[in-house]
Amino acid sequence: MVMDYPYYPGCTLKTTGKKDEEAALEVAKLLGFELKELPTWTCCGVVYNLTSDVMADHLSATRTLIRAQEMGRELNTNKLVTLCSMCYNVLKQVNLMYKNNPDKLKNVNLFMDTEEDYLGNIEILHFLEVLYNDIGPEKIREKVKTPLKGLKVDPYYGCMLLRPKTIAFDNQDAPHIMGDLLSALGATVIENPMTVECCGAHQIITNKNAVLSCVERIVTISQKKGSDVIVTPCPLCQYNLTTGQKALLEKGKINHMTPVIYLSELMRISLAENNENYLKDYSFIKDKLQERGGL
Amino acid sequence: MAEKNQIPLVSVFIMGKEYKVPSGLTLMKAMEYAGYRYTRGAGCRAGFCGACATIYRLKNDYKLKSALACQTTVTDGMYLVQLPFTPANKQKYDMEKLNVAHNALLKEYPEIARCISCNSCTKVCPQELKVMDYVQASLRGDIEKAANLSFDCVQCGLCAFRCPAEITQYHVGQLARRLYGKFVAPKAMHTEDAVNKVNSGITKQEISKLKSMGLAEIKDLYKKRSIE
Amino acid sequence: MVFTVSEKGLELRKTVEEISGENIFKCYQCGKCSATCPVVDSMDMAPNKIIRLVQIGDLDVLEQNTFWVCAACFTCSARCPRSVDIAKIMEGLRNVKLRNRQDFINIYSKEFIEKLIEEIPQMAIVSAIKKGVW
Repeated sequence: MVMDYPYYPGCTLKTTGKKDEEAALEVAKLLGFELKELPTWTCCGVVYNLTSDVMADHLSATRTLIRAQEMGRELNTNKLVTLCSMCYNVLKQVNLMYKNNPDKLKNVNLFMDTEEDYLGNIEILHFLEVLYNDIGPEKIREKVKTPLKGLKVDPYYGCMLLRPKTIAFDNQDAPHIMGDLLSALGATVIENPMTVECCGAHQIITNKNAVLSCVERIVTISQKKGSDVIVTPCPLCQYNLTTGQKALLEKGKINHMTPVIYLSELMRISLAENNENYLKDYSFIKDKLQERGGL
Repeated sequence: MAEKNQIPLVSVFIMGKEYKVPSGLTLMKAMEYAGYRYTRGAGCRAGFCGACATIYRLKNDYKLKSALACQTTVTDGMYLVQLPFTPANKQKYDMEKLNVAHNALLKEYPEIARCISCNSCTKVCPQELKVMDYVQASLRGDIEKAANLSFDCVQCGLCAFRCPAEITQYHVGQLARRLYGKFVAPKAMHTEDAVNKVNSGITKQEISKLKSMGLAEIKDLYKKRSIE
Repeated sequence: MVFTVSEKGLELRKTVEEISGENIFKCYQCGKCSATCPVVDSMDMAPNKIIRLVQIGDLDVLEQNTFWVCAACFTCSARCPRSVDIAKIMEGLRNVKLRNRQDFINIYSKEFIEKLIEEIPQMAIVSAIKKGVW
């Protein structure tokens, strides 16, 4: 069942992750629905605060959920779609915390006296869930204009979509949603055992070496298995994997860089009627497709 | 004996002491009526400079309220304190060296990233601005939104006092407006033309003529001026 | 290995349990968390050792860099056979230091400001500050 969804971008999707948003909005249109951005929104407050007493760090996420509640009344839905893995994780954990602790919800509602009460009913979805559950790989396969035949893709999930288990949107140890969607596009999906390994996240700022060892672990296996491109849904993973590879290349730990792009970008290339312009920006995909007979 | 027209008196508490002042006075006038002399915390007395930021409570009300002393009239039972100034974090920057990248404001004031959207700043703003919204816009580099929402800020400093993340909202807004004016807003070409005209010396002759005239001549010219 | 138990160390254990909401004594030192931690190579002390120090009440635990290097990826919590939420315990230890006015990051230091390049995703900056500044 396809409908328009309230959409929460988050700070990064409007700044360094713009490519993901542009591509995803177009992919949605191509598949017959629209992602409608919330009229005002605040930073989600990444990362979810794990202490048992602090409530202040949950305020940003709660405000976003109230905005979704308001827009949901107009669009007649209680769903909220997000593209960013970290926003997804924070919003879902906050929502779950309120479900398990109604007294904390009361507390926060009382504090936010300029807002309507949050009722706790918003359902948070990641764009990938919408694509897999509401549209389905079969329907996507039918709409493919350029099958990505011969392109070897490595779907990399990272942490935030699958941990902790209470908010995971797919099997924690052997997720398949991204792989199934990529197969529907005609690509060859590589199995990388490091697919749910952390990329190092915010340690890119405070301890770059920690990130480099994570990236080395993920990328060397991906390259050994012959991947042409690594696909990820998270802007921070995309940044860490790309910047990390640059540093590893300089240190001689890898001998070439594997491009890292968003799933929405690949989908746009495959589903668009006229994808000449897009292929121009993704020459490495164009080359591989031509080489392997996809184009 | 004629009854004097009595202006009703109200009780206000200044520095914890009770004073009876005529109702209808502004907070500022009330403090002066009570005998206090302003050596700081007063400026334009017209609601524009932001110097007279005041915090007060009303009787039997737990909420903290805020006001500009020169613009707000006394209420019975008001318990007030004036802020002499706010210790604010003000960064030094060279406008020529800045740009409007999405992290432009974050680089000068990295504490914006600590904003937890608690809305304390919006609640205390005497100008009723959407302070939290413009701080959030600054966080993601939406300079136009930050400049527009913060336009009526009088820099009173109350927001910075209440912020748990120690952000100086009004300085962030000021930088946003400066960046907007310099890099984003369309240029006022007619102003630039007028300034260039003046710099080219078009008015030099007329002004030197006036400077060399005697007092009687100038008075005569003034009487004969064209009035529309 | 030499442990030093102190009164303050025992208080620390109580504080960490309160802030994290976890029972420190559920851990039976199997080491799965350390084995699976993606950034353990950059840590002074592995996660399971940190938990051991907290169990015993050794204040030395606060001098380690483990919880500052932690990337909050939740893998340890996912793997623990006793369902101890180690990620929460790390958050608890971070908070013990932060609430004691010992920030990990000075956001106005040169090292931090020069990291704020245009390409860095917003979420990295916000989460680094969330974990390292009170």
